[in-house]
Amino acid sequence: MRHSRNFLHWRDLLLELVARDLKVRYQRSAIGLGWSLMKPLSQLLIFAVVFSSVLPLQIHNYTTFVFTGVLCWTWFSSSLTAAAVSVTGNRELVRRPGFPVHLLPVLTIISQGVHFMLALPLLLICSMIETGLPGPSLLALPALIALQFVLTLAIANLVAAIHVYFRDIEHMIGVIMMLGFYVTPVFYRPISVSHEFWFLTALNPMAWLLEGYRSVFLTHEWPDIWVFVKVLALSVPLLVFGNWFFNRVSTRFVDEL
Amino acid sequence: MKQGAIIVSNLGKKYHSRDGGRPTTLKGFLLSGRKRHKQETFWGLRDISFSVPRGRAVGVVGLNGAGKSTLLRLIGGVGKPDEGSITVHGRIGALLDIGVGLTDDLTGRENVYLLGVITGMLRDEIAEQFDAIVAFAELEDYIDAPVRTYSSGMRMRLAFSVAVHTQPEVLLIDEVLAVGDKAFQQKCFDRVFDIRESGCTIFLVSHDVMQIRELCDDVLLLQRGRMVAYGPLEETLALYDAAVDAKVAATRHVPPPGGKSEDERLRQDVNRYGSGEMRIDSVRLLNAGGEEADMIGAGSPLRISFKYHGAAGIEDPIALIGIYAADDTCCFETNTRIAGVELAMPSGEISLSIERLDLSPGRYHVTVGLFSSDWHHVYDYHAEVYPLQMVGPSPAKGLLNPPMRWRLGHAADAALGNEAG
Repeated sequence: MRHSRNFLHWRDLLLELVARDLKVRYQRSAIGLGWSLMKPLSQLLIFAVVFSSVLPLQIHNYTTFVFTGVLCWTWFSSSLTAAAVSVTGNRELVRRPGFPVHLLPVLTIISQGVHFMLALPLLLICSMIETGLPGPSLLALPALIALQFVLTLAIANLVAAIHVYFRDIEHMIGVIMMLGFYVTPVFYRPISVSHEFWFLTALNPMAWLLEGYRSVFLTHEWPDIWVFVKVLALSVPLLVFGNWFFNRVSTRFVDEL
Repeated sequence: MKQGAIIVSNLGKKYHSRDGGRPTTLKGFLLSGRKRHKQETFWGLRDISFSVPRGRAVGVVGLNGAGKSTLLRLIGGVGKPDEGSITVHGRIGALLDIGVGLTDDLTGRENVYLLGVITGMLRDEIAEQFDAIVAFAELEDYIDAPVRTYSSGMRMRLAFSVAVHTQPEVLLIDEVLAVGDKAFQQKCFDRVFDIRESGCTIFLVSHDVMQIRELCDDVLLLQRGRMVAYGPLEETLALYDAAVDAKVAATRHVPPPGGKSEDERLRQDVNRYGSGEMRIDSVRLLNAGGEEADMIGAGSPLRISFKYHGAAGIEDPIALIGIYAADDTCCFETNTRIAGVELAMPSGEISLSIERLDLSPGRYHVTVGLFSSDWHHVYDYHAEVYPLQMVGPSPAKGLLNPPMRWRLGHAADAALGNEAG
């Protein structure tokens, strides 16, 4: 009884706070939420032009390929960037009796996820134009999104909690996300195992996820089951640890803020 | 045995002083050379134990920095004590930091929902109460305007209105009953009074003694993170006044008359308070045989006596005697004012005879005190200094242990009076 009420309350809190985020950000602008599409679309434009005509990478259906990469990476990196300040930036909520602080990192991922979801139809249209109608493998898309959510949350919990004690993490995340964008095969082909930098792809969870997304959007095949196994094997223990760590230190947040 | 809506036992909260602490930047971390700084710690709160029965209103008083707000937030579940425990039964509502959490760019309507979920309501519940919230805030005409266009009074009214419509079972209030104009303040106050009347437990932090007098049953006095007293309104407020007076005048206390046979259990400002203009000594607990005893059987008589020494110019002081349980619950307290007894001045001895003490077995402490005739000054107060152990058959639960007998058959067969004996 009490637990089910808690879940209902969390749901309502997430709804209201995400709505607040979006309203505050876009309410007084002319094209509103449309701006959230501008950044990935302009990136897409640059990559599509540069790497298909200026420096051709010889990747089939490159627009869909790079669009998938840019969208998923943007969700991941913007979530972590926002998660870093999710606790420190909400001092008044943390100090409020009864407020479930552990929802704050979740909130940022969902908030950023809204932008991702809004762009997803565009990606689907792009994929249909280049590769034809999607097959049943499209059903794997929600699972992939859930998988990315779990992976992001696992890291976000740690980052948000550490930021309370160690403000540099915010800038470190910025640098890491910038490097990660180039290290992860977002706009180029995954590095083959025979290459000396093979590990940049093979040991990169975002590369695993992109492989899964791309099989859905480009080849209309079911994602490799290993994508799920590997990502879960990494993120579930990390999530458990991240939660434990977050809950352990969250009782001290209020003294540090 | 402990019952109540709020139970705090042995609470302690430690703070690290700001400098010398852990570095919070990379630079600081590197410069510190990974040396362990010795951290200065101090106890913001310590040895706090009390319980608030359901439906009771408790006011917390104390000078600035006494730890009142910290205590309130800990009870609200913000932060975690370093020692001891806090148990709260029932849904917590809080009136604190009124006005933060309003989002300027959203309309009043959107802010009601936002604040509502933040304070712990569900959206359905807010929808039900929505009209009442807006009506209470007197903002019907502006509810769809952005909050940035509101005056500060309107913002406060909106936030307060949401906060008092959460239907809490335990309400925590921190210095916020001064919102808006006089009329609205009165409305807020009446609303809190209604909430109290509906059986809600109230925990109020305030510097406003008038407010506490009107709203509270009991008062808890904190001083530098320690609980000085927890008891009935007038007497505890008198202790608070004494603390304020001491602070204001910054005068030295009348030095304790050293050398005399002063009880070593007594320590000034720890369990003994007061101006020292009158002093209590030779507190004795006497059993049925008139012998000094700190252990008596449940249902036995008890006599508590003490000597007092006054000074010229003090008229008609009030003597007080109380018995407190181990968790600081007041079991019993009375004073000479109630009985209409006048103390012989300037000094003498007084005793209170209790014909039978029907308390359940356990450890208790006796409190004695001397107050001025208007309760505004405390002359001498020994807070739960004298131990009293009750022994005997125990009830399943509770503090009360009256003589009793189970009887089968129709209840009316024997008149109640005939049962005694």
